Amino acid sequence: METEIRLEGVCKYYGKKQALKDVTMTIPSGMFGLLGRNGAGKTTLMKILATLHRADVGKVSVCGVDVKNSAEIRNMTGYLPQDFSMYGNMGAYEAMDYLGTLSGLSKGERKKRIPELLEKVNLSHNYRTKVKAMSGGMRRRLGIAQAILNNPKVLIVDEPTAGLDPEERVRFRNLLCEIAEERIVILSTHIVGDVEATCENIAVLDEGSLKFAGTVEELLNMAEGRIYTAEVSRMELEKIKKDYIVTGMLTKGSMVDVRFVSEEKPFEGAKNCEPNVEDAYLYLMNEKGGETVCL
Amino acid sequence: MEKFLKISAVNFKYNLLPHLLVSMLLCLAAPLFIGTRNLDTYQVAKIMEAYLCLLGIILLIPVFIPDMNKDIRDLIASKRMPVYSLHIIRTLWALFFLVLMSLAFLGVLKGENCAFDFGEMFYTVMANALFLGGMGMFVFALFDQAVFAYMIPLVYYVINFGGRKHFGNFYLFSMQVGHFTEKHYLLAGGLIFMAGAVLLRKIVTSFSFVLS
Amino acid sequence: MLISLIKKECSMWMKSIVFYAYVIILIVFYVSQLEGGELIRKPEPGGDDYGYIYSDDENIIMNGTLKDLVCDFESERDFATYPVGFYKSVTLSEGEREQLASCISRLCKMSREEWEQALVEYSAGYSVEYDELGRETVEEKVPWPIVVPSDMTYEEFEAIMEEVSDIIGPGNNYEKENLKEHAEVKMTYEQALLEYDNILYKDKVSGAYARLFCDYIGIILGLLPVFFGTARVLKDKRSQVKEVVYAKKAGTAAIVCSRYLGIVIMIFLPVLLLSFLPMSKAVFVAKTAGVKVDYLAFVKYAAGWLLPTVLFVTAFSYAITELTEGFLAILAGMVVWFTALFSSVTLQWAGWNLIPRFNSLGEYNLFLYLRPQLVANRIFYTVLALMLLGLTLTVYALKRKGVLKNGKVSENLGS
Repeated sequence: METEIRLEGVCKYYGKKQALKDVTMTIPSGMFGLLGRNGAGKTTLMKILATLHRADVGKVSVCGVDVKNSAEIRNMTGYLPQDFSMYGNMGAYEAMDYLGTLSGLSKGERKKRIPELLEKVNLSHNYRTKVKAMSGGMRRRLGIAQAILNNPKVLIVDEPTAGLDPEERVRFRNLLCEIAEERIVILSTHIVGDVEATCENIAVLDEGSLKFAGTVEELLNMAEGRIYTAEVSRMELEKIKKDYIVTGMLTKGSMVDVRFVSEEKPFEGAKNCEPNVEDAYLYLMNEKGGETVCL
Repeated sequence: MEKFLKISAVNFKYNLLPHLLVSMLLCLAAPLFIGTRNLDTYQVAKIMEAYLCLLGIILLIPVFIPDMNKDIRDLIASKRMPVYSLHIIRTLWALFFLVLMSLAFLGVLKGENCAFDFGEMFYTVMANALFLGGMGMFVFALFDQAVFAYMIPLVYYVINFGGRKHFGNFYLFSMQVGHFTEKHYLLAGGLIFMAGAVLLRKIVTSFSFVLS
Repeated sequence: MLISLIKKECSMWMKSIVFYAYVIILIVFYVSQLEGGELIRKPEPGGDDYGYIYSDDENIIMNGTLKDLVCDFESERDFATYPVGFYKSVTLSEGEREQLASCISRLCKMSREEWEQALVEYSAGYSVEYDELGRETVEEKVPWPIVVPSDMTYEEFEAIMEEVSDIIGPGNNYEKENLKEHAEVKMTYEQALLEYDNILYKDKVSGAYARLFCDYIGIILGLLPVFFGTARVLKDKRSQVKEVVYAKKAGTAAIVCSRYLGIVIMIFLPVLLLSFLPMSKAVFVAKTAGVKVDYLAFVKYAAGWLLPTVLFVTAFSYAITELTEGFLAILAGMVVWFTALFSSVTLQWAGWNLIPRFNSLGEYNLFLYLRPQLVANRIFYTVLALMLLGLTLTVYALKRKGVLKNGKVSENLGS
């Protein structure tokens, strides 16, 4: 049984607007990051995989099953939408029980699974806490718990850490990594740090087109030798901002430590440094603007 | 003035319009269901009390619908303009159209050779409409549930068909048996419901905003 | 899965204010309309008022109808019609009045001049006097002169009355279903005793009370389920739960049917429980009369009579709300209810009305006469309910696949 997702020439239109343009890629087992700006088409792609939208053109298969077989796909996927919510007056356990029923679990299975999962997401003391009384982080954790109720082969998580505090974000990433063992976990986000911390493979979408698909290392290699740091004055900073893509800045009194992208050494004093994922991502989106880099 | 017009325009476009269309449909459909020609006072009273007054429910209950979503409610409550001002503006527009449609309908009845006292019938329909619509507003403000807000006044209306025994001065169909006094009570009741609803909504909004 | 989901839906309703309001309204409605009502008693001989009955005698029907028609025609007022229960006056044109006069002539086989002259002579000898208590005494020096000749068959009569009805318009008192109402006669002791015996031995007492119960409760059940259907769909919208539910394994049929059946169960169960009250009255009457009551009568009548109304109204509101995701179903439901309730031709009538009526205790033979139409009516609304449920399933499935943009039909039409 294959444990991968295949997309071939996928296009999706909303009226005249084309949300996805001829996307072709393979998503292997493990943590897979889907990066892109707001409006890049990430959520559209996620929804196609979750059978909530239909691709207008192209083929999509999940573990060998065409997405047109929605019943079979829903049986093997778990979905956490961007704005997860449940009926406000339901407690955590009750909400899980209801969604577990919808997931096809028997009473016995639910009775066993739900406490395990609530424990896993650190909500074991919140069985009766109403959804409307939960914090954003608690709600997301409940969301992830319900998404894995049916022990899915594929977990689709749409922008799960948006709006979470740093501690919650780290907790959530760790949880996803645990879950990703022997599973496909697709994490869509515009926060590069999420991908950097957790994903082996990533894809980058921009205005519906696939800009990059490969490993994180391959993305980093693209930007190898092109990332520089320098200590400059505030006046020089303005010029650098104009001429180069600035990926980071740290103000120290009247001077600024600036990190930027350049094809070659731009001036004396600029030091070459190891790229991080954010550098590589920004390099891809700006320098390699029109190109698709799929390795 | 500019603010008032802006609020009114947004309310009209995004909230009031569909309900206005339903109200107009109710008025235009009248000749299909009921006679509008050569009616006497009691027959006109029946139409006012049992048919046209439903405009109150259709136009007044939607005053609170735009801020049903708690996030939207909190966002609006965080702004400088008090929320009750918004509610009052929406209520006034609902009343304006209620009055306009009632007057137009009564005008048509006069033109169709119906015999009745115009002022009395206008007062009748406004009393019933404000009572039912105000009741719905109050229930909405209290329970924050739109379906429940429609349910209570409609059921009150339905149960009134069973007779005046349990309703006393708040019996909706008193004019059909020639009693006018009840209309004063209904009108007063309606105004109290409406004022209470706006006030209650203000309290609920401030309280939830403070808590968050 | 379906059973589990239905149980969950029912428990959700147990926490809903709409449900508790419904139960209270049901009880209040019952108490205000039915509680303390009449108990069936054996008629005593020698009484002067055993009530009225509509005669089945064709002769009485024909002559009663003709008399009322002539009086209406001669009064020169507009004809009263009640297409949906509200008075709607119909003014006949000169041509239409000529046609009507011709129908009268054919009914009594007299020329217009002859019967108008006869009427003048009758009016001259007719007087009414009122005593201090307002009781009237009628004096007719000349018997009513305009009658249907003995050689006229009832079929001929009905054919001419159909023409009369067409001239006046819908909702008039001369429609076929209303003809019997012109044949009201006083019940004799023997007829009253027969009626009583029918209630005891054929209706088994509980049947009579069950019909009356269904008549009244049917009124409120024609409207209240609308709120449940609307509330359930909008609950998903308000809680932003749609996508989470859409992505689950449960099939569209399981989700929609469980919600629908959950509503039907939660509406119908309180009705069944409430029926214990009139049932206890029936048991008391039966015991007093020494007969055995049919304990299942209420269940049978409620299931056959009231359940199709619940099925239809729930399906109606569910379908419209799923399509529009707004409150339109409430307003539409109100219109349907209003039209159904006030277009009842009489208080013992089914036709194709959503709310069949039988507003009398007993009248077993009349019920037997109306029963085939009632059965057809109930089957019709059950089938309609299933069709609307099918529509809901289709809409939900399309929304679930993202075919309907943002879940609203209206938004799709704009793109």
